[in-house]
Amino acid sequence: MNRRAAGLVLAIALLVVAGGLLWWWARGRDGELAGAEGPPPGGTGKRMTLEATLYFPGPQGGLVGERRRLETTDVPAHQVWSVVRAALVGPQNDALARSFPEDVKVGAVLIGPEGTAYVDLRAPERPDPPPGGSTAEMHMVYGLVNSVTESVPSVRAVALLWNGSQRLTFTGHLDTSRPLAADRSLVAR
Amino acid sequence: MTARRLFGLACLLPLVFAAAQGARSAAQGEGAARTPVVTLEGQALAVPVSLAPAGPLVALAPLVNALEGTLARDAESGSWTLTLRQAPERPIVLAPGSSVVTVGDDIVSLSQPVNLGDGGPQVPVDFLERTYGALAGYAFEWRPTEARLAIGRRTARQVPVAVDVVHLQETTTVVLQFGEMPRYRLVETPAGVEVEVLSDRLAIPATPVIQDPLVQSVTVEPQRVRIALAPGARAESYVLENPFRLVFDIHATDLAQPAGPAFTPPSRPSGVRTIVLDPGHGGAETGAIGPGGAAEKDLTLQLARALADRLASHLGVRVVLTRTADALLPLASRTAIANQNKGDLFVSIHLNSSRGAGAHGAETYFLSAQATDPRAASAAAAENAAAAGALPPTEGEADPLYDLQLILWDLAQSHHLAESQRFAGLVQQELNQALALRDRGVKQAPFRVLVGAAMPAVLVELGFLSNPDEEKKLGEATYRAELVEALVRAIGRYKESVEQTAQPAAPAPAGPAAGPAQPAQPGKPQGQPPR
Repeated sequence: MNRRAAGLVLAIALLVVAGGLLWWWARGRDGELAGAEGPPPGGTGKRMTLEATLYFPGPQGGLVGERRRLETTDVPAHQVWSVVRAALVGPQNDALARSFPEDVKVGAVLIGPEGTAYVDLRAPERPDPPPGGSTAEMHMVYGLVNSVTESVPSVRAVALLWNGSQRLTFTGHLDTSRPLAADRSLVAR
Repeated sequence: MTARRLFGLACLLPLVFAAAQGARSAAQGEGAARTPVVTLEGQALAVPVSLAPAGPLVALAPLVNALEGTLARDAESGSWTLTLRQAPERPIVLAPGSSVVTVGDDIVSLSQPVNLGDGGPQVPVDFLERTYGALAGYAFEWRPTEARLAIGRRTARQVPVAVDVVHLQETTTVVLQFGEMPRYRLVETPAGVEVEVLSDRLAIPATPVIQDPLVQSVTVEPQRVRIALAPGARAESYVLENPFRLVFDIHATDLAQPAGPAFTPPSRPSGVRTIVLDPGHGGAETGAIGPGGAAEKDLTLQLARALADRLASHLGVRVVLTRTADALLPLASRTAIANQNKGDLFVSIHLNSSRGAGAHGAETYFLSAQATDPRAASAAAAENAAAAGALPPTEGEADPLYDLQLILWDLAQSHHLAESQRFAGLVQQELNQALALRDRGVKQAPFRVLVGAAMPAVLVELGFLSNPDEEKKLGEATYRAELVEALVRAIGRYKESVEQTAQPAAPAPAGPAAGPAQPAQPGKPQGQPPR
């Protein structure tokens, strides 16, 4: 075998190793999808596009809806996860604001038989939700509650957890100890 | 480097990678080589266990057969409901792929998601600890070296309890402070009220000597605390947390009153004598922070103190502050203080913030109907019924007293909501007229601090700290004084309207209730430090 052939074999071998290492690394990086801490729940559902409405704080203090098409599956828990993840990533319209800081991700999602979605928000560096006034808290909580209940028809109410724990309140105003139904009065007219 | 060496290196690299993968697989499969077992009190159970990287996953269905319960799947949501025979009132909902489960009304986060195996859901050991462990008295221990899940029956916890009895202003308060929260229920007895401890044992403290006009004795036994009341006295209870305390407020009642439920429906208020002011947030909970650094918790305390002074001097009412220092106070304690002080009006003072750039103005909230839904009513009625000696009925069981409490609670809430809405309208009117603020109106929300208030209650947002202009104004004493005067006028108008409406229906008997209200301590609002 001449020197050229050996070099070719070495290059191919290095590519195989590099590709393998890349695959190995990427397999463990699913959790770092934007807005999500881990892979979506629901296992193997049928893929579909969900027409969703995501609510974000508008310039005058009300919530403003933004229409989106989200790639998800027909499993309700996966749909809720997709809606919350997209809401946490933030609005596409520059006039709207994010409800949560960038490091808040969606974790586990559970849907109970009564149509209540339990959504775990994860921010390991933040023991408590970011402090704020009642409007900021309502934007955080109802931004997600309204988005999920309007976009996923089988969900009637949403209970939010923070880092795996149920909280009496997020920032000292709203009662978040139980599931909340949508509040349309917060939507800007 | 020769071509032969290069060729050798090229052949070696894939082998090294393959060896690394093989070693990884071998490490993962190490635990799987030993078949895990489950034992109950030393006896083997036919319960499959699979070893996942985050810990063992136990097949739930066969375990439910052994530990007693039922497991059912809901086809629409894909979730499963586990009902323990020992605690049927607290169904447990779980779903494959989710590390969140619900246990009754509680939400529990698990160490790893529930898995779906061939025979149904597979759960981590902490799921078993939070369900069969906490509710049915089982203990679970995973022993990795033996690959064995050992299940036993837990011995009862020994829970320390301290008893404190204080008599002030015709009310005796009995505080039972527990080392940790026990499982308990309240039972009314002919002698008074008992706290029955369900699966723990109490460590008996030194018996306090009771010399009290309303409480004859407090006796602690391993399974119960007996509070013997004087004839005609009645007890109302509530819970405080951190540390866990059961508090009983004991009042004298009319001895000639016929026996019946302790809870009485509210009548229309005959006056506004006691006003409870709640400065929002405090301590580690800062509330909103303005772009200039102003903290909501500091400004609300300044505003509440100034308002208390003006109310006491101008309207001659008794004023109670839920906090007088920079201290964290649980939200439930704030309304508990208001109820304990027999407040006629509750005003929670806040400053707002929003991520929306242009938000500004004042708004006034009262409790939304969502927060007074049947579930909230049921919980509140259960507390009232327990105070009256009845227990929430189990499924399929009717309890007339419990049903009565539900109806009365609903009536009380409807009444307070209507009054809260009326008062909120007055507050908003005065703020709009006095100040050049944007009128954001009267709104409803399920605010925690308003839940459970046995009186008209509002939460007022006096401006947006997130708005630089409003933050600057709120830092000025003259502007804060204008806000305070607007609130004094609103409270004065409400007080006047209540007393005018009450007079024709209830001719003035002698005493302060029907005449001009007298302050308990004129000019000196009472502070209520956190317990």
